[in-house]
Amino acid sequence: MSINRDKFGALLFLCLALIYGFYVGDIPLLFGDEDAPFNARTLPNALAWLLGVVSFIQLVLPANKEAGSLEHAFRGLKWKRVVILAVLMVFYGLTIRQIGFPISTSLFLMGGFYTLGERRPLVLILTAVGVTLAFWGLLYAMGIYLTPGDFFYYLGWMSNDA
Amino acid sequence: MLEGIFSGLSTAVMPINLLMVAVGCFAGTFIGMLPGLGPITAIALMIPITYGFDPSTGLILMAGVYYGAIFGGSTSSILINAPGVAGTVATAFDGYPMAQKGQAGKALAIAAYSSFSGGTIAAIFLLVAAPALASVSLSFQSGDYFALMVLGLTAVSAFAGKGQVLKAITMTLFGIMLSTIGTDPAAGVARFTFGSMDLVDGISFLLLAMSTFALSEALLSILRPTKDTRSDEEKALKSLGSMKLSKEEVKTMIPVIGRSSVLGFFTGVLPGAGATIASFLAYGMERNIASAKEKLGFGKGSIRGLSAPETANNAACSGSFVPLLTLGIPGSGTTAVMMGALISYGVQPGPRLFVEQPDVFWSVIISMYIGNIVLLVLNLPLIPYISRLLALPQQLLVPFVLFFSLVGVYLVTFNTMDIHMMVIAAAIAIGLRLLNYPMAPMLLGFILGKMMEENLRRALAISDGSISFLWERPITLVILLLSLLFLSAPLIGNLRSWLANRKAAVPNDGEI
Repeated sequence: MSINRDKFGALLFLCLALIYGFYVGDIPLLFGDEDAPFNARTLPNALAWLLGVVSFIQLVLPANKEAGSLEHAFRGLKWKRVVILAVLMVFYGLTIRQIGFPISTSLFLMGGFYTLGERRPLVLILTAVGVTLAFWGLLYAMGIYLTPGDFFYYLGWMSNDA
Repeated sequence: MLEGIFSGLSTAVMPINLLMVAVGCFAGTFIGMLPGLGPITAIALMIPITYGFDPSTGLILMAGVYYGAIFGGSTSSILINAPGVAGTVATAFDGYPMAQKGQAGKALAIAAYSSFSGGTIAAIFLLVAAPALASVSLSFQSGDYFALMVLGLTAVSAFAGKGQVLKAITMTLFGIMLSTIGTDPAAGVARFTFGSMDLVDGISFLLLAMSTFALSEALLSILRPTKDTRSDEEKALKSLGSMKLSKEEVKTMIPVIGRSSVLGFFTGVLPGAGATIASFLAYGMERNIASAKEKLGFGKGSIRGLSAPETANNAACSGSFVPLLTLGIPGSGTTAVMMGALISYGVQPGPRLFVEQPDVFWSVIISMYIGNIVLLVLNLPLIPYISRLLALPQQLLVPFVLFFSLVGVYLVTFNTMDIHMMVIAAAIAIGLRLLNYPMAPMLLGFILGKMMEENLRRALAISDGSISFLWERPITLVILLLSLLFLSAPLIGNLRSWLANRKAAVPNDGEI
């Protein structure tokens, strides 16, 4: 059985409206705000209802056949490289402070180039390191200093002393 | 007003600002020529660079990028029938057949002259319309602003296209929902933060724009690989032919430019309409008023068919600045990104901008003229050289786009959590794009959501909790009725076609 792409989207948003609406109750109200014409919960409440109604309408209206099936929409996609790039981005976020901007950026770029099919070691290394250092220098010239990384301070190779 | 114009002129012609217009047009043309990346991505990528600049300089750079991206999109439309931007789809109808006839240079020149004329005429309209509208809007109250924001959001949904209206409304609501995350500015209580300190200040606009446009567009080009058209583009550029236009051709273009500029500008002013609709309308108008003989030439390399959409899309770009600069309401995804950038510079777009920061207001308008000149004088002859940048292989280009997006956001907050949030937001955006949900209404909802809540709260406080402010002032009522009209027209249309289909189906069922 295959579900229509639009119907699946509407179903997702209906779930989102329900979850969002459920958490509206968690918004704390200030004393006396319960009876105020507009409080911190008013707009979220209205949004949850509106999204619920709109997605419900989309769900019950006749299916738009042009939208095609969900399976069709997700067929033939090259997920592997995108997942690797996403992991690289997460890795970049985790390491930018620890090993510093120059090394983590160079590694991220090299990983990205390699994932997308670049195999020439000279292009891989020179482009990644060159762009990183050029960008680092440009930032420095603009007055933005990004530290080389906490790791080097731990090792004692660099010092915070003026 | 004259004082303001001179002040804007003196700001716009400062060497740094002239340089930024040129850089913006150049960078925009390059990004616009790249398959898959549009003006929103081009502008979003520029925001972090502009943080260190004066607001006028930042906005001038972004306006240059906007024009450049539209021009770049036209180039790929004409040369290889692959529009980089939706606003240049109509350009390909007659531009590509011209290129196939060996007149690519002429087609590019027609596009450049039309864009220049459309942009310049529209900038003159803007010069007159913006201060007039800004003066009127000074009398607007909170209720009127609330109504205007509702109008902006409903119009964006109404212009979303066939079968997309409900999806656009959904995305607008989703955007407003995202804007409610963080501390409620009036009560000071946390909403939907789930105890995370990183969410207390809400989701950053830049983070959302970068991840839903730049990151997701770059990743989608890997996920759903399309034919890499850059080598075709390079080949086409090697045999451009002459760029000279004959007197007859110029004579044919002049009335088309006049008509399409007016149409494009006013379409651009309408919230939600923008360059795409303007270009199709102008193309349709020209074809309708053409003689039977001329009509046959449309789609086969007609000068009128190429000039009309090119003029209109640039005029619409200028027109879309009217609601942004005068009312503080962006009419399109692109101007929403610009508005987000302005707010982050500490500049609040709206009627007060004209009074309080006339240098910003006027320098942006003046820079539009300069931008158009730069596009004509610098970009047109430089097209073959800009295209050499397209030789940069995709395996290098995509990681660069990812890097600039990530680091652009990181440099603002120095919070590594933002990088992780961007990955999550990009993954959600990719999922929604695959389900065919439009992203621009979400960004617009996000930007306008906070302001809408603030104005509604203020209006209710002034009217003592009564919703009578919605109909007490004629202007509020008219704007709200317009919103209702915008919203109901496509829905009624859909319902009617559904009922008609159903009626047509019933007798058949009966017969069986």
